[in-house]
Amino acid sequence: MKKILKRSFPKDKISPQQESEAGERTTELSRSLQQNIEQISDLTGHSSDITVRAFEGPYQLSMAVVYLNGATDIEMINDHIIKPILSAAEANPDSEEDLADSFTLIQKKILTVGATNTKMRLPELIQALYNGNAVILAEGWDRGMTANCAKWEHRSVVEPSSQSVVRGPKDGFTEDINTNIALIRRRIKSPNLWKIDRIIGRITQTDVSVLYLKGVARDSVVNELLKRLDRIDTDSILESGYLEEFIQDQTFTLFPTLINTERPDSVAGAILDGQVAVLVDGTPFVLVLPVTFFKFFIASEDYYERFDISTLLRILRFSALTISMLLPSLYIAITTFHQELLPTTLLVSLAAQREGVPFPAFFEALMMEITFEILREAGIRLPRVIGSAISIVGALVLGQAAVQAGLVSAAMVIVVAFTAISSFVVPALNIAISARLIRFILMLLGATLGMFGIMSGLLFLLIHMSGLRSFGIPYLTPLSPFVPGNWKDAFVRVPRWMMTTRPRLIAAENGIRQKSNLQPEPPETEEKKGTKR
Amino acid sequence: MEKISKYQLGTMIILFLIGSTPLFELGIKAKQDAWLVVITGMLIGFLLVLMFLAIQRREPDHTLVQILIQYFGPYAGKFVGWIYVVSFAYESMRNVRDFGELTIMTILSRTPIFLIMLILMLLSIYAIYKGMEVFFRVAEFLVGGVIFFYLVLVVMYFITGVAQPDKLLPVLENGIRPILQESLSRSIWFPFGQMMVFLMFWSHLDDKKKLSGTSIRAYFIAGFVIFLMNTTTLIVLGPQVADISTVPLLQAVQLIQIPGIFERFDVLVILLFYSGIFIKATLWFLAAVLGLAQLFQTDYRRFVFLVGALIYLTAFIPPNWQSHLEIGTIVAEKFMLNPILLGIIPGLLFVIMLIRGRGKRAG
Repeated sequence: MKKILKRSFPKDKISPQQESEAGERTTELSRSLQQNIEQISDLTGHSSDITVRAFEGPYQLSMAVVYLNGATDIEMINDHIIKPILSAAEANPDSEEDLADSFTLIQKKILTVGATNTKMRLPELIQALYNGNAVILAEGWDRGMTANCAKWEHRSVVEPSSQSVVRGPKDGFTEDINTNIALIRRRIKSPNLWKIDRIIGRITQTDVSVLYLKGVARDSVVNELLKRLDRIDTDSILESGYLEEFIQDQTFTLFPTLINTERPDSVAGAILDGQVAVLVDGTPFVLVLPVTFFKFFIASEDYYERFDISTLLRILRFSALTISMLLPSLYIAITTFHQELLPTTLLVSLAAQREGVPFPAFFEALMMEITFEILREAGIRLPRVIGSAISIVGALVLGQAAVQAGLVSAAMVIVVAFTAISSFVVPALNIAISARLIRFILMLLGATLGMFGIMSGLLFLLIHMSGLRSFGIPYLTPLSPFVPGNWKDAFVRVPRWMMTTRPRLIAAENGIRQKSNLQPEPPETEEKKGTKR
Repeated sequence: MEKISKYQLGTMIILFLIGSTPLFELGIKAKQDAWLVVITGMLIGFLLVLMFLAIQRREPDHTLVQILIQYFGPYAGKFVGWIYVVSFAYESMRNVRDFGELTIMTILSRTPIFLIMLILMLLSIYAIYKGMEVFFRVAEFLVGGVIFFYLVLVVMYFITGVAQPDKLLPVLENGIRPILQESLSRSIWFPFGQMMVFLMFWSHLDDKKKLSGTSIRAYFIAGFVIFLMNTTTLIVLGPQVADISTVPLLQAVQLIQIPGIFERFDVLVILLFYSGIFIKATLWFLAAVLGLAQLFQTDYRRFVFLVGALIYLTAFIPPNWQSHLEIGTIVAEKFMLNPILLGIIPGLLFVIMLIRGRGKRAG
């Protein structure tokens, strides 16, 4: 099997280093300021947002600050780089013979910015420039100094649009990775919250951070993740979705094996369970791994609401996903193959509805499902202002009019509408998308082989899911493999005081979360009163 | 080597033994005492299970084929090993054909049988190709649902009042003889003696200490479910109807009616039947493939397609279901397949193991 795949997809022989040929001309900095600046502007294609500010430093040293306009804080450059150097220049106006230590002098005694660094090679210097550093150069220096003045434009922290809650924190991740890390750190103030950084993407140079709780997360998972991250050699990472496809266990599956979320509280909760978070700069969607199938049905609100209603809601979500996968195919199978399964009165009413419909049930369902998918896609792209037009067209024209025109039966409209609504119940959007795809396959199976086809399809899915793993964790944990201890937070959600251990297999061994006798009790005095009565 | 957990082993034993057994009325030759046949079959079959377990415990890291080669010598051992591999494939083939015929009979009357059997075979191949561990996890997933649905059926029998326990009377009308005869000739071998197939899988258990406990518990849970379904079918249909019916469980379930809401529970039966046969056919198939791989000492995935194709093609040999059943009876009774493979050879093996074991200890 593997051999065949290899043969049909030969590895591309193109070297990934093509783009950096420009940087190979001269990598060393020269001692001439003028030459260095020219080289920088040559290498950056004379881009107009590279700003060079030349001035005279102490001991009549001619200097320049180079920075990327828009990526840096200009006030900071003015106040903490240029101003201190100029005032030092006023204090020491005379030229001195020995300028050898001017570099350390400026770095240690004059500059008032936070982080400075020394770069010996030109490509590094330019990279630092594009990361939002101000680069300080001077006549006679064979090295450049970088000072971190990065200030990218970013959105402020607002409520996440894709996962809103009634009760619970309302802040969401932003596109800025440092803000996102701060949002998590604010929730877990522990030195054990470790952060490992990687820069991925040869061109985009995207910051990627791995966040986990040392001692709680499994080292094997973290190591495996880092191994997979280090293996990536691509030109760009623009969103965590890019990364997801590189690091997931299996690509050819309908099921997501990583969860993504916009909610800092979900991520914090996941980290406390021993999961690992992967943050990517430039997107509010944080990846969480490893996950199991049942994690997709957990909303962070489950932990804030009462446990009984949370349990009920989880069961409801399972049923909703099942409905959104199965309902149209079951309807097709029953109306085409197994009419005897329906109670007689229902059968008669269905038959009466379908009397004037010219198409077979499968075609009817397919038509309506596709219509719905189109409506939904249009709804996302449509400008808000004309959004209401879509609902009118969708509901009245395509729903009611289609029934009246005798194109589809009313029952089919109900089935499709119910399916559509059900698919929005599941909190994780990516598993709902899987259900959408599976729905069409099952409809086809139901139309050709009836119940038998649907069952075969489901059995296939079951075998497939049993074989799936997310970073080594079987996908259907805790059901198969059966892990009784994890049931407390999978289908049901037990009260907080009963969650004494962290989930096994996901968290490291020996995961005791809290003391085991934390059940709240009425105060002693109340009890005594009761006995007196 | 792939490892399976005690839960996976236990659930697989339960599903494998249940298989499609509750669909048919075990021991109906003993008329209204069929339920006693199940109990005696289960208890006598337990002795066989104890022997299989004893064999496994003497060689905890080896499968049946490896043990045979070790104790019968390379030639005789391999020969017997081949017989077992063929018999496993044969059992799988029987399940596949049963499945095709019953599906056509019950839900898809106009679909060609080759398609139905092909789909089942492809699913089996897929499951085995994914690996033993994955297949055992499938069983783990299904077991809860299967037992739950069987219990639902039992509860429904009683709620709707179709169950009439007095159909079991008179107990022991013809004495104990027909019961013993029936259980010794049939029910201890099918399904209970088929526990033998786990000699191919027990060595994969990750915690060897749990071997006997898990297996015995699972054996009795499965036995209880079979007994329950057997008895309820009997008290719903009565011995006469149960005897002539092709699929007694289906017929019994069709009597359940809660007017207006649930009038047909057939789907549930088909569901149970599907999962039962799938598990059973695939496990026999897997045993055959594993045995073959151990005879040739290579990876078992190499043989999946070959054995699968053979099982699929041989399933077409009987021209119709009647002859399929007839062949089954001939093989089982004329050639004494079950007693020889499930009783005599393992017994012989065990005796040799005992003698050799003593010899070793003495030496």
